[in-house]
Amino acid sequence: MTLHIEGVHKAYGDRPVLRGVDLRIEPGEVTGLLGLNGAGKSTLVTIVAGLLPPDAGRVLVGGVDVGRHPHRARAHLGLAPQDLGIYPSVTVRDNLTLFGRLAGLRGARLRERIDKVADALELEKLFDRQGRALSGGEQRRLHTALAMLHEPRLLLLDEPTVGVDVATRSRLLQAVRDLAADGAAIGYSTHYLAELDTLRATVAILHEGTIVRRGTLAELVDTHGRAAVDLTFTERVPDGLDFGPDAVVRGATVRLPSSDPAKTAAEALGLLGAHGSAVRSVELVRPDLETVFLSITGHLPQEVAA
Amino acid sequence: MITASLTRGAALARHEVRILAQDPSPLVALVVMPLLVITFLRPAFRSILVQEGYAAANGSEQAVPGLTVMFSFFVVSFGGLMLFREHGWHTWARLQVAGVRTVEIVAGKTAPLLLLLAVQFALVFGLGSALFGFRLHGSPPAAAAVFLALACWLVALTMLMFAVCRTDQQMIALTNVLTMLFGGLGGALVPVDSLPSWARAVSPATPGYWAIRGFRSVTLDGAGLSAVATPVAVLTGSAVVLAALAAALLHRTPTKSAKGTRGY
Repeated sequence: MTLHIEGVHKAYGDRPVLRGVDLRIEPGEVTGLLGLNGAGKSTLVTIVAGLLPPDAGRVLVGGVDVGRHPHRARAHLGLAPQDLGIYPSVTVRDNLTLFGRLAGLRGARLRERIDKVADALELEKLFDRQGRALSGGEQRRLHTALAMLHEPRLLLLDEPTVGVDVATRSRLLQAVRDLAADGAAIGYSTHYLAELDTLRATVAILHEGTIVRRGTLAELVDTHGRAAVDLTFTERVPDGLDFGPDAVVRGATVRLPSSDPAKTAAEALGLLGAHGSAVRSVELVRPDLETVFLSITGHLPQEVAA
Repeated sequence: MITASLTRGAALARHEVRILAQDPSPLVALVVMPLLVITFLRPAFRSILVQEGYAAANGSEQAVPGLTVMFSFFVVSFGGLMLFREHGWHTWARLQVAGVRTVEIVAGKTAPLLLLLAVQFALVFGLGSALFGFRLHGSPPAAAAVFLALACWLVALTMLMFAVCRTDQQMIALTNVLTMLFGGLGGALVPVDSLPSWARAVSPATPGYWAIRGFRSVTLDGAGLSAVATPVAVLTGSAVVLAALAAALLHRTPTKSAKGTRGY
């Protein structure tokens, strides 16, 4: 196994963030780490990278205890944190060369690896451009390439597609798939649930400091997925309407989880009465990862943890 | 392990030189500032040196090395910015994940300051010769030994200041104060003999004193290597102490921030 997290606890002052996280990722497996904003995903990734000590528990990367031998463990690890980390005043090639050298790559092997990740992330034409002259998506590709350069056994990507265009997203996802096909274990933190489907990832849901569900997408949808009705109003949801305890309001939309969405839609429209004319659309939502997440946590993935 | 450590440090140093080459403004400041002040102070230094018995002196013998030494302290601020901007660029954590130890990062990124200082001294001494009639008189290897000892001391101080300061603004503020203190007490603005008695008493506690004393031996007294042995030993010894202290403190890996550093 490439990553083994065992009973990890972490608190910031009096506020516990992680309360006994257990997680394993096998070689060739992509695991999507889902959680609300502030649920502790980045804290967990930072602990796995050995940049932050846990209060309790341990992390093994490639069988090496990160707490006891952080430098040995990091040899197996690639990390692309959420914040872009590239050198803006030197070229793309110089950025890649530095991190290649730091990983112990030299000569022909270094050139070969640079060419390979540049090809995977379409960086070849940007080799002589300074980091600061790249677009946001190009910087994100370089940022990810730096983590992949030394062929890590475990690659951690924290929100890798935030703020990128469709083409960049597609490139990044393909590169991740290729790396997993070559046997790397991937930890992938994201809010974009559709990406996990594209990556054929298994899913770990981090909620209230622990991994509350773990499984393949199909397993989770079968077990926890609920269909729903999305009722969208022209401006905002009218006051004084009671759609029941399971209803979730997001902007001008009310989501009504249901095992019989057609019936629920009819009942909801009947409940509207005089407000019926304020409805812009009624949409039946099939069970998917978002409905799984909603059913397990009571929140949508973009929301902020309490 | 030591070889791997040196290799990583060398890779970082080479990378830092590339970054410096993209923006040579620190070097421009290190060269222009002393040249400007030399222009103003050289006549006064000439009078003082003549009174001290150096009848043929033109003032540059004191002004050029003294003010170059004083403004060389600003390299500590530049070194601080080089280190703190790693936090602003979010590359510090990446370097750590790449397996680079904190001490290796700091040493690798501050080593190019030696090169920056070498170019500063070469340019100010060279331009001092062309513009103000500056001559070494004594042994060039002796002057080189004093320079090298001072440069190592400044690099060690940069490492220690980074270990102690939590922000780049703290480091710059502290360095500016130390520059004026070490320069003034060391005899860069007026010779030590002209300082008040309390200042003369504490002057030997500053690196500027030993560096300027070493350079004065070479430029005014025509001295060789043996004459600068004491200044070189004092500077080198204290540099070793500073570096060891910095290494010990850096193991704590305190949280840093680069509030004044622009990322992109």
